[in-house]
Formats: sequence, structure tokens, C-alpha cells
Amino acid sequence: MKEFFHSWVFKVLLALAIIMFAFMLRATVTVGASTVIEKIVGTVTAPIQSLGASMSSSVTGFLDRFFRAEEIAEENEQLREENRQLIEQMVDYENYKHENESLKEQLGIQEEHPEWETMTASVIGRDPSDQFYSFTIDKGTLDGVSYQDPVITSDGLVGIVSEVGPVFAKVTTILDVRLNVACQDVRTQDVATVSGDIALAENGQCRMSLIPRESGVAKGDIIQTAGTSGLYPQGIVIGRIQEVAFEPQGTMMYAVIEPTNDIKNIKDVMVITSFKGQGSSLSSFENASDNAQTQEENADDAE
Amino acid sequence: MNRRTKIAAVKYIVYSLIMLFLYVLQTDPNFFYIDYIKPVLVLPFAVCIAMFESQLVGGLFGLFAGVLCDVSSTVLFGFQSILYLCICTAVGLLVVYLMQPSMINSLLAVGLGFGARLLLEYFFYYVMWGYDNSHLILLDKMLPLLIYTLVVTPFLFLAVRKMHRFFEEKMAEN
Repeated sequence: MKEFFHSWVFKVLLALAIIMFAFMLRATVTVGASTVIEKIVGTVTAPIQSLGASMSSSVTGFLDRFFRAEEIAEENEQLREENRQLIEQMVDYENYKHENESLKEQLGIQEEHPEWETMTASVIGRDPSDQFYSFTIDKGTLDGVSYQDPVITSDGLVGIVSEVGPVFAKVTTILDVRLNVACQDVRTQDVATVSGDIALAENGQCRMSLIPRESGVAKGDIIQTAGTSGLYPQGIVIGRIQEVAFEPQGTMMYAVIEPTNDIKNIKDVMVITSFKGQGSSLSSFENASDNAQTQEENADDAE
Repeated sequence: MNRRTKIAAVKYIVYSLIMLFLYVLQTDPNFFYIDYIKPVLVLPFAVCIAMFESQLVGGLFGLFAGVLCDVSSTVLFGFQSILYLCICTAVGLLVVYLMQPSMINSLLAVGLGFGARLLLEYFFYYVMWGYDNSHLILLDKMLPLLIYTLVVTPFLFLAVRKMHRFFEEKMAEN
């Protein structure tokens, strides 16, 4: 064994370990940008992964017809029922829309539609050791994707680009405990924060925290992005409230959110590469969070 | 370049291509899922290579496996590369000085090595930050991942042993 530590083999392996350690240190500083090694390896592997993903998708799709015939029939029946309900809701919607337009005209409100630049991308890889279903997409800096671009589908918010290479990007989902999204209850307009929760992520759910005690949020409310952080445009649907409860400590409330997207099985996404207010200040959200925390402290003092 | 060197080069190219193929399978969003858990394939493959080849070759393939895992992962780049380099070098050395390249030993090596890697991630990414219910990550995610990875290890061990023997025979013929 002693000879090994004096051999050139040990020196080579040690040198490689030191080089990798240097890259690791660099990665801690340049958050969101890939290292040279990642760029090279990612550029080589991304097209292979993309090909593999499309092939496996075709194969599983073909096999699913046989294995899931009964399930598909049930799903079809369920969708018919949902369709019938949606038609009914559509009638209500048209009535509300008409009423809303009249009210807007009365109040003279000019609705602003933010201009989003979007790009479709396919999921080409998922890390098996990731606990929060993060994934890799087939678009990168060469396609105009940048660090911290929001990732959505037509159903709502999926996550954010957490690292980007030339032809690939890694997406951290809203189920991840490290991601916080400023959110808003569509009905009550209360502002809070949506983030991942270890216990809820297993069921594909996330947590809405810092809800003031006097808030009127309730089960079934739709939650959307508040757009105050500059990271996400305002109005992207995140999910629906499943449960509201008091925090075990403190006097704030939290809610369990069922995302509108099936994040665990997502195959295609859209990346918002540009939107109005992108990168703007955090002041509004910080104020909202500060207010919420102040309210919590005041309530604690009162107790 | 003599014939033996050529055969050795072909062997390492074949190992590298299989490693890439396993990486694509490992990260594929459709295959091999059991309740959203998927095995890690490249580390057991690198560990098995380290058992049959020298510690240098084992270490280099460990590094390759680590870089591939780092590219697809959201953890800090280099974390898995350094760990897998160390694990595979250690396995190569253990085979030289202490143990036989056998299926049981490959399971032990992968279990201890990958287990250590998961525990380190658990500590640095969850325990240190004080997340609620972090033990669920260990029990519901990491433990099934480790078990699933151990289940596929014997197949990779047999494949590497077969390839190693095949190339050894080819070299012996010359």
C-alpha cells in the first residue's frame, strides 16, 4: 500500500482530484453557469439524451396502448364527464366575463398584457438521485435560455432554470425546498410564498407559507405568481389550495398547494426568456414578507 | 502501437461507450422507474471496472462516472466526481491488497460507496440547513435508490467480468 502513495499513479489521481476540487470551488462562485467540463460533457451528451428520450417515449407510448387499455378507457370516460362540466363552467365564465368587462369599463381600468417571449423545450433527462424531480431540457444559452428563466406549461408554473449550458439547461421545480416563489391568492389577493416541502413533495404538492392569520384564503383557491420578485411574470397559475392550517409555531398560516402541473411526469415545457418586469427589484415582495413577519412578531408579543 | 495496446485501447473505448449508454438510460425520463425511483447505473459500472482493472483505470472511470452524474444533477459540480474518483480508486486498491473481485464484494463496495455519497448529500444539503422532515429524504428517497442501485449491480458486475475476460483472452492470444 505504501508504494502506491509514492507512485506516479497516486500523483496523477491526486492531481485530478485537486483539479475537480478547483472546479467545485469555481461552481460555488459562478452559480447558474456551467463549468467548462460541464459545457463539454453536456454538449456531447445532450443530443444523445435527446435521442434516447424521444426513442424511449415512442416505445413507452406504444407499450402503454396495450398495458393501459382499461385505464385509458376509464380516463376517457372521466374526461367526457369533465368536458360536460367544463361546458357548464364555460357558460358561467361567459356571463362573468361580460359582467367583468362592464365593470372594467365603468372603472376605466386599462388591463396590461405583459409581453412574454417563450420557447418550447423537451425534457431529455432526469437525475435519479434528485429528490424533487428536477430535470434537464434540450435548450440552452445558444437558444436564448438564461439562468433563472421561468419554466411553465399551458397548465401553469413548473420551476426555474437553475443552471444553463450551451445546449442544455437544468430546471429546479417548485417542489424543491430550495425554491421560493412569491405568490398571490387570486380571490383574496393575499401575497405569500410558495416553496417545496420534503413531506409534501412525495405527493407532488408544495407549501404556501407566510399567510397572515386574518387572511381569507380557503380550500379551492387558485394561487398564481405575484410577479413581485422580478423572477416570474405576474399571473402564472401555480396550483390550487388543498388545505389551510396554522403553523405549528407562530401565528401565521400555511396552505398545501396542489400544482396544476403533474411535475413528476412532465415531458414538454415552455421557457419564458423575456417578460415585462424581468429582473426588477424585490422591494414589493420583501415589503410583503416583512409585513407578514412583523404581523407575526406583533401577534407573538400580544400573546 | 502493438496489438496488445490496440486491444487495451478498444477495451477502454468499449467501456466508455457503455458508460455513456448507461448514463442515457440512467437519466432517461421514461424507463426503469419504480414509484419514481430510478437506479444509478454509472457508479456500479465504474466500481466493477475498478475491481477488474488497475486502480488508475478504476479511478479514471470513477471520475468519468462522477462528471456524468454532476452534469445531470443539481448538486454542486465536482461533488460526485471527486467522491466517485476516491471510491473507485479505493476499490481498485482493495482488490490489489485485500479482496477478490466477486459479486458479493461488488455489492459491498457499491453499497458502502454509494451509501456514503448519499449520506454526505443528506448531511450537506438537508441536515445542515435544518429543513423540516429531512429524515423522509433519507428513508423515502435515498434508501430505495440505494436498494434499487444494489439490485442492478450484479448484472453490471457480470457484464464487466465477461468483457474483461473476453479482452484478456484476446490479449493472451497475442
